[in-house]
This record gives sequence, C-alpha cells and structure tokens, in this order.
Amino acid sequence: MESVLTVNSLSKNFGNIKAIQNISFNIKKGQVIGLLGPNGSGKTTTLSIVIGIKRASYGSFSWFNLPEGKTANTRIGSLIEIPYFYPYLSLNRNLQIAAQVKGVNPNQIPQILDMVDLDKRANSKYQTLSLGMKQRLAIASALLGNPEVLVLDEPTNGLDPEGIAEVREIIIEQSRQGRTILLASHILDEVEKVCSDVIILKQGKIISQGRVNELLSEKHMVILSADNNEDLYAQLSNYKGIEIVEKRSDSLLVAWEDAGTIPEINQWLMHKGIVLSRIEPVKKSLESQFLQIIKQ
Amino acid sequence: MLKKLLTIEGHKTLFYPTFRTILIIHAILFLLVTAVASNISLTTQGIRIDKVFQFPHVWNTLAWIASWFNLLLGILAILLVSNEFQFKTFRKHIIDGLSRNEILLSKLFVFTLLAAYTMILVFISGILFGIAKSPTFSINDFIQGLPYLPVLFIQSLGYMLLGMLMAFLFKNSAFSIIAFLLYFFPVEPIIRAFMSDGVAAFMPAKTIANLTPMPDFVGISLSDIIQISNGSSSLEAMGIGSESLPLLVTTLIAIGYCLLFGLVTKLIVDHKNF
Repeated sequence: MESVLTVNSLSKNFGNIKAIQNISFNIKKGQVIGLLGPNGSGKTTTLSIVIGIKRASYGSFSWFNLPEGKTANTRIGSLIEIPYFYPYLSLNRNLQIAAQVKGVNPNQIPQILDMVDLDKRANSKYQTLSLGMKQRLAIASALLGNPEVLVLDEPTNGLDPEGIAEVREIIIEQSRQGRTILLASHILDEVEKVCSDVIILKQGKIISQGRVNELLSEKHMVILSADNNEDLYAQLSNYKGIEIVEKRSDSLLVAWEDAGTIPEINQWLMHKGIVLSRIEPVKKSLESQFLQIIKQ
Repeated sequence: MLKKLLTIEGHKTLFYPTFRTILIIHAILFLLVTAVASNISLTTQGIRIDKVFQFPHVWNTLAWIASWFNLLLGILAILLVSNEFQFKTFRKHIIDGLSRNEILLSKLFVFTLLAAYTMILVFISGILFGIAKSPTFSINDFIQGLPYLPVLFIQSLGYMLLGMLMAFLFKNSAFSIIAFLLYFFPVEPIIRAFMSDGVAAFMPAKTIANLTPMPDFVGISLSDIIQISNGSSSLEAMGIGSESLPLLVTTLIAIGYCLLFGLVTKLIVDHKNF
C-alpha cells in the first residue's frame, strides 16, 4: 500500500510545556485514521504541524514520500479548528475564493455544495448559516480540488445531534470513495463509527494505536482455541460475519455482531471436524475500555 | 498569478458592503464639496474664486480637495487588511497554499487600483468642471496642471500603504485606525515641533500632505491684475503658504516613503503568525 503520511518522532514544545512528544505513525492510502484523546492531548498540535501551519520542535514528517517537511497542499484538504470564511459573502463566493487560492477549477463548486447538502443555500451569506452548515461548508472547502487526503480536526465539535450525524455521514461517504482521512476527535463513539484505525493520545504521547475494532470494538469478542489453531483460523476465515481480530499463539480473538450465533458457529466447526477447547467471551464496555487505556 | 490574486480580491472587496459604502461616500463627498466650492462666489476686492476651477488651476484645486478624503481610503485599507485577521482568512489562505508574498501582493494590487480610482475620479471631474468654468479651452492650459494627477495617485497610495502597515502590525481594526489617525494628528506634528524646519519637511505625513498643496487662491485670482514677478506665490508671501520644497522633490520623497511602508509591511508579513 502506498504510504500517504509518515510521521517520525515529532515533538513540539511551547515554552516549558511539551505539547506533543515523540509522535510516530504511518498512514496508508485509503485508511481512515482517528486521532483520539482528551482535550489538550496534542491532537490539534499534531495536525497543525503536518499541514504546515506550525513548526515541529523536533522530528520530521513526510507526505507521499516527498522530501521531508514539504506539504503537498493541493493533495491535502484540511479543516483545522473552526471554519474561516467571509461572513458577508455567499457560500458560492466563499468557495470561489478558496478555489482560486488553491488554484483549482471553480466549476466543481456546485457539485461539492451538493455533496455536503448545501446546494440550496449556495447564494446565502455565510453569516446566515447554522453552525452545522458552517462546518459542512468547511468540509466542502477542504474537498475542493478533489484532494487525496482529508485532515479534519474535531469536525463535529459543538454541533447538535443532527449536525453531528450529517457531518459523519459525509466523512463516511468520503472514505467509501477511497479518500484517506486523518480525523482528530475526543469522542470515542465518533472514531469508532468512522475510522478504521485509531491512535490514542494522552498528554502529548501515543499510548496505544491499532485497528479500531481491535482497540475499541463494541462488538462481542470471544477467545477461541482448538487443538489445531491453524485449522481453526483457516475455517473461520471463510465464515461470514466473523472477524478475526488477533491471531495469538494459543488462541484466536474473534468478533461478531451477534453473540447469539456462538452455538451456530460451534456446531458449524464441529461439522468441519474442529472441536473447540476454549470459548471465552470478552465483555468490554466502550467507555471503560477507553478510560482504561487513558489511565495506563 | 496577477489574474488569480485580482480574482480573489475582487470577490472579497467588490461584494463587501462596507467597501462599497465607503467608496460611494468618498465619491459623493468629493463631488459635493467640489460642486459647492465651485459655486461660491467671492467677489471681495476683485478676487474671483472661480478662476481656480479653470484650466490649468482646476487640477491643483481638485487634487487638493480629493486629498481631504484620503484618510477615508487609508481607513478602508485598514479595514480590508484587519478583516482578514478578524475572519482568520489569511490563515486559511496560507493553509490552502497562498504564499506570504502573494498575500501582501494581493493587497498592494487593491490599493494601487484604489489610488488609480481616485486619480480617475479627479480626472473626470476635472474635465467637467474645467470645461464648465473655463471661458476658453486651450490644450496647453489643459495639460499644464495634469502632473497633479500622478502626484495625487502617489499621495492616496501613501495613505493606504501606511494604513496597511498599521493593520498588519496591530491586526485589529480599531487599534489600527486609532494609531493611523493619531499619527497624522498629533503624533507627527508634535515630533516635528522639536525638529528644525529643514528636517521636519521630510517627515512622512508632512511630505505626503505637501504633495497636493492648497491652491494659491489669491495669487490665481489676482494674476489677471498683478503680475507676480518673483515666482513665489502671493500666499507664501503673506506667510500662509506651506510649501517649502519643489513638488518633484516632494513626490520623489513620497515615493520613497511608499516603498519604505511596503518594505516594513513585508518584514511584518514574513514574521507574523497568521
């Protein structure tokens, strides 16, 4: 997979305060990465550095394997902090300006406004929009020029439930279309619903990173093992609705939507000649799990 | 690049209600004052004021009247720059890929065009009033006072560039406008009071204000009757005139100040956190 962003031991100090320390991660094409952490954990600082509005104190980053520190602005669409627009101008005109600044064709504006469901408000002034609409316009602005990567910082912050749902829908739709997305959020539920991978930050340090359904899954997880785990693995790989989260030396950590199917699977495995020696449900509450990770 | 920056600024300024309002007020005030002034008839002791609205004096007169409203343009310049800080749109431009130089250049283009607008306003009204008031038309008289137009251009630009400098420095429109106005009065006049006359004449506000001197009403009006032989104007002879340097020298110094304001602003822009 093509590497989109590589971050190496990034650190940033504001005076004596260490905003982020030794942050390293790698994003591959098509991934939707969530940067999860409480307020003040360094999410915005990390994003600001990689999109080039803040300088790192130490460390480096590279977009698309380009020379270090170079930001490929036309290939990255970003939305950092709150949206910035001219309140007295119409949405259409605000996007015209953004398109000119980015050097992309303004012809795509109607289509992009349609994408974020603001096509009917194209000629309204920005100052007449609700907060949710403003946020959607900001995403529209980030989508100008069809960038390969979207960098979004707390895109649902301060929105009402309806606004949150709309913004999430847009993000999910964008990831479905194959766009790589780097999303910072302090809302666990959001990362869980939107992202494929997650990086958990606390006080400027990465404390955990991995697949979302591994780290944060709300699904029922079960540890299974049999005499021959290789066989078990091979068979389960073919079973629909089951995801093998982790292959351990003596067992498999698997997840599926509905715990009620455990007997069915057991029966199916028996039929295939595999006798389970261990079935251990892993009960995890999302919130407690997150707090557990944060406390470490 | 020029076209790109002008398109961006066009969207921002032409559809900015305050911009339109200030420009309309500027044009109306100028035309109103000019119209009223041209209809005043002072007939004291044979002095006839309407001579100053005839070619070639009309150029000097109108440039002088237009210069009263340059402060408006300076404030407009401040608003156009400080808005971008207030809306954080400079920051967005930088994130979206505009360079700091382009940000400065785009504003310079706008102010150059505004200075050209003032010049054109004065040119058109100069033609109208000049033809209406002059008893005869000669191309010589028409051309003679024209250099006041580019001089007015430099003057308006000077006001706007100083306004721009203040706005980039303070980011905030209220601070910048207050600093801008206070500099013209009383900060620089007080500084000048402690300087010798020779040096004081080179101070920026003084230099820029001297570009469009008050027309020599008395001299112009009397010129039919009395030939002033020694070349100095009658106002100066009466101690009212303020001109101390030839216009060309003043203009060159003013251009120097414009460049200086631009350079200082560039330094600020290069080191500013947007």
